[in-house]
Amino acid sequence: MTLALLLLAGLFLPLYPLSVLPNSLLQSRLNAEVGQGPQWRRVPGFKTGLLLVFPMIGVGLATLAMRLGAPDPRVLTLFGVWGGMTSLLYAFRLLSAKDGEIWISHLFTSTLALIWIGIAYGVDPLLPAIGLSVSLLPLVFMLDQLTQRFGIARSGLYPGLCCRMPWFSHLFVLAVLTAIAVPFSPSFFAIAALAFGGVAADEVVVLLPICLSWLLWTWAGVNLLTGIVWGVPRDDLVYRDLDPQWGIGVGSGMVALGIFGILLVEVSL
Amino acid sequence: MIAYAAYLLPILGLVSAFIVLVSAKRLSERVSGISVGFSLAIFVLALGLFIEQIALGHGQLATLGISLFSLYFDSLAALMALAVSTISLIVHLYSRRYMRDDPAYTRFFVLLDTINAMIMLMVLAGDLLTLLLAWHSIGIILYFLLNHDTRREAANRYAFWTLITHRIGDLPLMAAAALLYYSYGTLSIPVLFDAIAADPARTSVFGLPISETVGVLVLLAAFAKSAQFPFHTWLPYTMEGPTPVSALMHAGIVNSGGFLINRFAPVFVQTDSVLQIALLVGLTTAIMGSVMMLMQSDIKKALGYSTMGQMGYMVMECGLGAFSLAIFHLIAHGVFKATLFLDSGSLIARARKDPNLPEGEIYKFMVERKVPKPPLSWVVFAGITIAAPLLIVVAAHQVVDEGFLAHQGAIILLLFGWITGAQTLFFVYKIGGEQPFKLLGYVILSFALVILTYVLVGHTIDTLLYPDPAFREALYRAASLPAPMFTVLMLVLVTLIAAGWLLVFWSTARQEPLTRRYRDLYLAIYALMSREFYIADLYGRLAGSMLARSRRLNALMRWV
Repeated sequence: MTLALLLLAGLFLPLYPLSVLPNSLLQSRLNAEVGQGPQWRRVPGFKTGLLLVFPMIGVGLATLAMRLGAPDPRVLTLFGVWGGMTSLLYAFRLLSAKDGEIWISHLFTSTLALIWIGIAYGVDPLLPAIGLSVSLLPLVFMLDQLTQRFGIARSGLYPGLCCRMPWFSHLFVLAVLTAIAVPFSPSFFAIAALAFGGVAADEVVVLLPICLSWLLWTWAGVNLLTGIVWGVPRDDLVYRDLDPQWGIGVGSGMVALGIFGILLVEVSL
Repeated sequence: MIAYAAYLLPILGLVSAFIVLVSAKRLSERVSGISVGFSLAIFVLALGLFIEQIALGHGQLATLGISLFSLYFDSLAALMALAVSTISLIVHLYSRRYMRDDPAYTRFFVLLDTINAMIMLMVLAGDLLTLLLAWHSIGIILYFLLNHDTRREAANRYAFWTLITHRIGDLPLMAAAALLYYSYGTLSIPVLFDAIAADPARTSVFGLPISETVGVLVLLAAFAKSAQFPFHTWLPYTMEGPTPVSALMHAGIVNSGGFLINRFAPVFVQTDSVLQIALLVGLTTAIMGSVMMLMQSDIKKALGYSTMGQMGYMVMECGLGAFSLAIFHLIAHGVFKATLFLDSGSLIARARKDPNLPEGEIYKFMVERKVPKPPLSWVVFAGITIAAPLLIVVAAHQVVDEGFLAHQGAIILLLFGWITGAQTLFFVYKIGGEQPFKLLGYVILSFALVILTYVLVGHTIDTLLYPDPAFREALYRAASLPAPMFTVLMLVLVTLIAAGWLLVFWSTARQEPLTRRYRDLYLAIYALMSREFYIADLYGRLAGSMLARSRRLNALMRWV
């Protein structure tokens, strides 16, 4: 029963190959385009809900599994290693992702898979899971803004947005940085909580995937910025920047996320 | 109390960035005045706090009642805060005119103020998490400063290399912080150091002592930030950013490694064989940086490689146990390198109009390539070259520390001083001239003055940063090699160096340069160095291969 619950949790805190489910759901536009999914899955609200609810279900199932009967530590270590390898696999795949939806889905899988390290080594997974999932939300909204303007959120199609859409570009940069766990984002503190809390049990299994995945996220994030924010803008496109008030609202939301991150680390450590 | 006042140092920088951001529309280019004003205020405050700290002596911890954002204000933090604020003020003043008419004027000043605030937070950090936050943030903000010209592909490419190298350096520090927290159960830096001193024998990965593991991780973090071999490629290439950014980077940010090693001195003092890694890597970097500097025709790139060489020397000093000397070195290097960078632009502009080279012995030697006949017997001059600098460095060290010969580190540093002096005297011999002895006298006098100042200031900073003589001794001991090995090493080195000098003098006297005699070997080495040992090419290939594999894997797994 415990093992079954843990495996079920692997659908929501993605473990490869169970990760195919959340990835397919998050890549809704692509699926809708090839006639494999309904149009309502394109709405950012759906993705937001999925990003927030899936980790909660996963953490709930894993907690329930632990309460029903303490699993063999070797089984837990196996899940920790499995999570670490899933995270690395998707972080590596993220390097070549250009489409916004694929990007979000791979990053979601890579970040949330690390929660298994916490579960395996006695770190309370709830706050890190919340920290990692909420850090993706600003990017979901910003990518949706790109889709609304250009029909698709894809790196390399319309470079140099910083010259044509400064409000958007500033917020997009902040959203990407928040997603890839740079300092002051909740994901940074979530990563710190996992590393600091789990290291006591096994230094290599805990630190290696966390550090390597983190490095790959940065690389992928810079690739995304290079294809969208930097470069020479095209003259054959119509650019429409964000409304400044909307921008200030989103910016304030990111500041709130930073404060949440500080609270997160205060509670976790 | 002064530790709480130190909160103002990073806060003022952030306030300045915020005011510049919100007033940009109204004040246009005058916003830089706000930024410069705040920089001046930060400098004055840092100076005041430094004076207070000298009077106080011991370090103080200030906290906000949470585990984050505590500050530890000791002599090291006070000295570094003063150095950072000085360089920041110089860069701000210069940037005001230099960046005028730049379309991204506001963004530049916002980022400049923010990065200065983060550097300040790093040097003042009182807990591991704050140190990590600041350490990570510096690399990120630097990426955006280097990407100032958003349309230039080269700027983007080198900013990326800088960021990724800094990120590689962030990870070992994260691992070190996690291991320390796990081993001693605290994030507070001074509390942690007390705990390590009380119980240094705890073990971590594979049963290794925690101090050894953490020492290696801290060194790796420092190597990446301070452009040590093989993490050096980002530094000389990052000339695409504005000149003030180059100045800030080469005079300030790159010194972070030296600061970090000093901050963790209480960890290194417990190690047996970690500092030798710093010695080896620092030495390699110093030699490579200096050699590659000589091969550059672009003044800014030459300065970039010069920084690499200097950083190598700084890390090497740490590897020899001369921690405080590394701090002196980074401050002195910071001031002169900032000046050189800030002047390089106008120098290039002036040289385009008029080279302004005074005709004389150096002109004939450097420009006309006329090698005069050496002034007197090469044997006599070789004797002076080898003996005079040696006497000066030994006498200068004797003034401040009679027992310096007991420290292996001091002896190796002395060796470097000797080589530097001998190189300068050899140059006098090589260019010849009408009054070689007058020139020789000037050079020896200048060299004696420089060495004496270096030794005296170094000693003063040593007693300021590490007032406990037992701790200083312990640092030297931690950096020591086994005595027989050290003796053999020194004998081999001295013999090689002396033989090298004699060979060079002999070939110069015979007007038959070694580069002609061993032409094929010389050309092979030249080609290797002109491609910078193919290290940047190797990284480029590796990155390209990883991206291609990632694409193939995604195609294979149908992107889900």
